[in-house]
Amino acid sequence: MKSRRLLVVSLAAIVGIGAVVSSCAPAENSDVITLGLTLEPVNLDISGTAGQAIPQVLLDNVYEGLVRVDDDGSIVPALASDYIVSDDGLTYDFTLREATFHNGESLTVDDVVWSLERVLDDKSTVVLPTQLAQFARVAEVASTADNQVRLTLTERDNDLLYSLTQRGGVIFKKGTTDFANTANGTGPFTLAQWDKGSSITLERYADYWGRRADTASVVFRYFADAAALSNALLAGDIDVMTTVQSPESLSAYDSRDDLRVQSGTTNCEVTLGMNNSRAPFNDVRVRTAVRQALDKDALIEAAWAGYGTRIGSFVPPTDEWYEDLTDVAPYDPAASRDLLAEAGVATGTEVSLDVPPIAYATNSSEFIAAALGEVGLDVTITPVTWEEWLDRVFTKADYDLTIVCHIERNDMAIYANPDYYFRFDNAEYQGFIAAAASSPTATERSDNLRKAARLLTEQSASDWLWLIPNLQVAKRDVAGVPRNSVGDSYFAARLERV
Amino acid sequence: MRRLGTALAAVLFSTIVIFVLLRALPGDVATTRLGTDATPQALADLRREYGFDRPLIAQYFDWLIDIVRGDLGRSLLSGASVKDDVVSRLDVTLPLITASTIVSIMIAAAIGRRTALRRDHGSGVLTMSLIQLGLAIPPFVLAIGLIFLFAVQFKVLPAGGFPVSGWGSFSEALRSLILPTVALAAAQTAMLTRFARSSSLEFVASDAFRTARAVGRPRNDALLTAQRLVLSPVLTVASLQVATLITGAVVIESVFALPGLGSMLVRDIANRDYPKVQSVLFVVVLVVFALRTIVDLANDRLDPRRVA
Repeated sequence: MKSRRLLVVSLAAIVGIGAVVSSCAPAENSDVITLGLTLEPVNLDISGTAGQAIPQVLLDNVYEGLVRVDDDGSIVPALASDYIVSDDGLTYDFTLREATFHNGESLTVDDVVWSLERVLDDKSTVVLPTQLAQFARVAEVASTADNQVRLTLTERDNDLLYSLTQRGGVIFKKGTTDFANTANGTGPFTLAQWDKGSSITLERYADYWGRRADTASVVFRYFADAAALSNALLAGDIDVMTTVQSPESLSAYDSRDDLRVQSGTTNCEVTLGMNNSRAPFNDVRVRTAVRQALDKDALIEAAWAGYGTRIGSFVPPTDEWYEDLTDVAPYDPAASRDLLAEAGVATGTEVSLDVPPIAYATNSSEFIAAALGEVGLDVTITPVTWEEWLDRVFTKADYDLTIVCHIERNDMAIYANPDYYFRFDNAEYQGFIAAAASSPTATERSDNLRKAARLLTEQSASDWLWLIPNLQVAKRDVAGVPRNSVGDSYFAARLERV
Repeated sequence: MRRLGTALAAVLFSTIVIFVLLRALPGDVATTRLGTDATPQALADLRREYGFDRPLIAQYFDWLIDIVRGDLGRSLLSGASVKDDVVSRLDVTLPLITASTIVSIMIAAAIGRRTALRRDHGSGVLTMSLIQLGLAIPPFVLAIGLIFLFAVQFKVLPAGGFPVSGWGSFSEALRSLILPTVALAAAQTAMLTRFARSSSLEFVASDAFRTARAVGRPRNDALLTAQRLVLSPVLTVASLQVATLITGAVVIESVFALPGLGSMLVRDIANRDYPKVQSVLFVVVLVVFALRTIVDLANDRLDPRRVA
């Protein structure tokens, strides 16, 4: 009898489940827009914990700075209604607008001074070292009137306004202590709920000082697994897939008439790093030979389904000082072989290519190994974890070749640091970068950076494979999806269902 | 008593293994928090703040004393209590593992018995072939197939996720666990069926079965006597498989984007949140050992031959 009872119980369970399945299709709520992302924040401490995940959800949505960077890259007022920069570039005067924090308290100059003083304290252990470095030239922040704040600099800093738009420039309520678990900002959304391991829900802030969010609620849903993210979109569980991990899968979305693929720009330069301090790559001829062995168009086709822009140096086309340098070390295997012979590199010389576990790197490693094999370099592909990459390649520079995307904006300065893992040590380049940072005019700054970019490619400090496009897939009825990825934030206030 | 002693020794040993293995991984939570651009000085300061500069042996014993006192510590990144985190994640993982265990034991016992009786029939052969298939397909492949069919094509079940309000939205929560349960139970069922079948076969060939048939009891009825005998090895294997199920849950929770214990563990390991990871692993080890001990005791009662 028992077996029959078991069967009956199983059947009942199945019928019960079936009833649940059919009875409750999820209700449509047009005022909620759900975004699918891959990296969830480890905590909410926007100024004290690294990684893009935290500012992606909180910056400009929950927290704001004095200024904000627009989707097209221009800097626009935020908590400051207005600002004046002195001619010598050493004084910045900001006029605050009337705004309230999500807990109801008003924004005061004291909050601004308190928040910015946090990033000026160079001994602080609660603020990220990168933030401290960005504000190293600011000597003092002080209130000059009830709604006026003045920043005084020791020397000109052309990146200061941009730095103020990012996580270091966020304005907190004075005296805030718990940054890791709460977020009391002034932005268009309040932090409604963080369901750890799953999603963060933002809700429209009714008392926002500016144009209120177009949608009542935006949910940032996190998927550790890229296939799960894609499935959620195909099943209609999310409205926007904010990142496309494998461009070759885009055709699956293109064929659906309820979805659209959107492509914008990023600052993410896929870089073939060469160890400039280690033979054979300490010879500029060898580095140039590597670049001439690679057919970039074919590589972009093979590794990134043809999406992606060729770049000849470490500058994206959206930067003012961009110049087309793709012809400096053009694809020419014969010239590549000649250069290697000239440098005395024997055919069959063994080099190692350390490949971190990310699609752009794994997808291009075989192509690069084969192409370099054609000109006589024997490449061993070594897959590495991110932890190993950070430790051995990035920190200790114990590597020959590696592939990584560099995403920071205005990041040309990394090549001016001889200890950076490229180990590129060039006094002339360092001079250009220093001159650019203290140039009195934007034109002069651009000139210096343009010269630096040209020198970088002439020296073949690295090879730059392609610029990653900002690919997203959204339901056709969702508008306001930010096109470009120019800062650390994912601005959600203009999202709406139409 | 002896059984308990062995279990305790094993748990103690596992704490050492957990502690040492985690320290052997490259990178630490200071790099996770401060990022790739952090200066060595800043990293050193933070490590001192975390107490990582103290001798490993002292760190180990501090942890051991804490967990013996029932204090699982706090996450270094969020400051949240590990106990609270584990409890909230069990909302997903506990039902998932329990349901797939129950489903797989029930199906395995039923199919095992049937195929043993019809071992020469076409249907029995077909069933066993299907079972082989179940063993051969990796759970994540099955999971993706299920999602494609039920979520993308027919749209009757969600592709993944768990309601924000948890079991407060009961039917939604239940719906979101159906596909993961099936995916997790499949391989389990296949394995358990083979055990159920072989012990059923053993019984069919036994004197007890022949005698029962000889005195005129119907075949099915006679085999029911074997129910307990069949269930006993199945339960033992099932308890051994709990550890496998937990690792299986790691994969399944990722594919279905479920906020469970497995997906939390993967993330915390990636972030090098050692104090948290070691305490969570300790809890898992404890549960596995506890279950084995319980099943051992249950077997003593189930198997008439073992009743003193």
